Amino acid sequence: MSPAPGETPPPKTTPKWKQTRARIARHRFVKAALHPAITLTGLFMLLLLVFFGTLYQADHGLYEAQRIFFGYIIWVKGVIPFPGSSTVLWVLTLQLVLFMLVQLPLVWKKFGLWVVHGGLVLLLVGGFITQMMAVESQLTLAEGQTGQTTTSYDKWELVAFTTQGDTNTVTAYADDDLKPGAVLHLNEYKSRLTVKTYYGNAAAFTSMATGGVMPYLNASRIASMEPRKPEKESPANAPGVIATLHTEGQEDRDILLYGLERNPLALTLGGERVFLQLRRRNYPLDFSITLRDFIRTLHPGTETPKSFESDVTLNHHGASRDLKIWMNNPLRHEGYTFFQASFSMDQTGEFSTFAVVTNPGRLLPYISSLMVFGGMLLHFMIHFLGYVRRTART
Amino acid sequence: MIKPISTVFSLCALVSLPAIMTACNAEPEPRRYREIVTLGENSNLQGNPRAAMTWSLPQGWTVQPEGDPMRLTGFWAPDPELVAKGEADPKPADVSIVQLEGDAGGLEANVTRWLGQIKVQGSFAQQAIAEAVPVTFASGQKGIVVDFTGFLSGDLTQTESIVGAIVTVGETTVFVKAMGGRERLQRLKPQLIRFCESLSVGADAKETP
Repeated sequence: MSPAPGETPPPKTTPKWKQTRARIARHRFVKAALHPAITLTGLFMLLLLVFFGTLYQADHGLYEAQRIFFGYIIWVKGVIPFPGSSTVLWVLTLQLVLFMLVQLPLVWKKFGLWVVHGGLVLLLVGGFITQMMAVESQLTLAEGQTGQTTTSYDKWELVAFTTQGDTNTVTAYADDDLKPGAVLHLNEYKSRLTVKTYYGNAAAFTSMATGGVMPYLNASRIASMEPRKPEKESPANAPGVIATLHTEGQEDRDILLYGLERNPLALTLGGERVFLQLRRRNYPLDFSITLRDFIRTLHPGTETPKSFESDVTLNHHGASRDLKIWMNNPLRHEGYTFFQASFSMDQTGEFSTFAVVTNPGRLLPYISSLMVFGGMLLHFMIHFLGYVRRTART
Repeated sequence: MIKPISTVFSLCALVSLPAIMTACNAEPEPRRYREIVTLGENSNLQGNPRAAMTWSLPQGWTVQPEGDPMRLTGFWAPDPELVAKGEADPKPADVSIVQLEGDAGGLEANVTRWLGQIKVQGSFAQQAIAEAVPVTFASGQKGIVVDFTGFLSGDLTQTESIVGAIVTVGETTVFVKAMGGRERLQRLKPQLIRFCESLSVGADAKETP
């Protein structure tokens, strides 16, 4: 009911949730958490991390620099902790979210700012999704060959598998799980492995180094391993693991698996022929790709490549599609992107290597950039229209 | 005025959330999947079913990281003289094992190809085969070891040479090739032959213990 003429309208009451929001915003802990000093310190730390990360990359390679500087804690000189990019970005994300929840004014005039901040949160979330879920691998095919599994460049897995026809049934533990003392259950084979030693990079020696003694079960007569400094480029690392194998009804045995062994260790476990191997992580695809033809064009009269093209057939759900992959024109299918990465050739034919990337957060940076741009434009327009309206009135 | 202690507490709260998320160290969980072994018309390739292979490495040899998909495996073989002195070899020989279908074009064609790799005239192929010594894998397959260290390229500038074994294994041919400095290879040849004699390839390969 509107007030009668001459009557004073009753004072507007602020909704309770808004009062609570304002009360939280005034709390000293929240005020401290939203202090601009934290934002500025965080941004300055990111600047330092990028600067020193770039310097570190020159000596230690891209993968090692990413591992160290994009982690949560960096141990300077092995003893002094310094927050890594992940920690700093987490702090900035949480601060941004807190700011939006309790401090950013809830008025239409500030709608553009909401969109800008939403875009920034999305950008950071996209970064975390990429860090946690993106997978980079590769697939090498010869002409006429069909591939259905991609292989990681630098991530490893300890696998136990049985094989039937052309299919392997695999139980895989990631290299991150191979910490001394870790128990890896292989229940399907009534067995378990207890990790004794794991080296991220190691040199392996045959039994000549141990005077013919073979202390471990191994497929390549490797008798001992020594840790090595990580390689500058992490794909060149060769890890090794020593573990105790416990199988029901059998004596415990120590096994040694080395990353560069071509053949798996074959054992009978729980009545089945089981193969154990330390290998680069495999990622099976739901579809397969056949390389029909690889075409390399050279600049006339030189050995300098002008272009690489791969004619492939994509096979999925019984249907086939002929496609072409070439530089900067990848094949995208089912969340996977296949880039033409490299090639090799010998007397048997040509091989094409594709870099395979899957990243659920692939589109988020584009969306967030659009949001930030649109939000700023909106904010400007709202204020500009307000200014125009005020000017027209006066 | 914000008290510094509040800032410290708030910062700890902001940091603790991700720390808690990452500190949850549960027992390792395996990933289970089925994989199709790579299919193809050409079965000489990485990922395709291959003969099982075991070997005994001579002293000082190290396994090379994976790279060339054609190779079953590769090794760095240092100069035995330097190994005996306990010194590192800055230019170890490159030893590769490759397995190809059938006779891979024939013995003479492959020897000619290897000669071409060290820029030696292909007409030396027959001489190289005639001078080859026999070798037998531990798994029983017989073949020959060719030694090119006595051949020089036309311009006499070539320093690299090849000593390699070519052995027929069932329906395939296995090539064990050592490539490196000529004199180094001459010293390495006995080790290479011993290495070939330790190789168990194919259905006859010694079973893993």
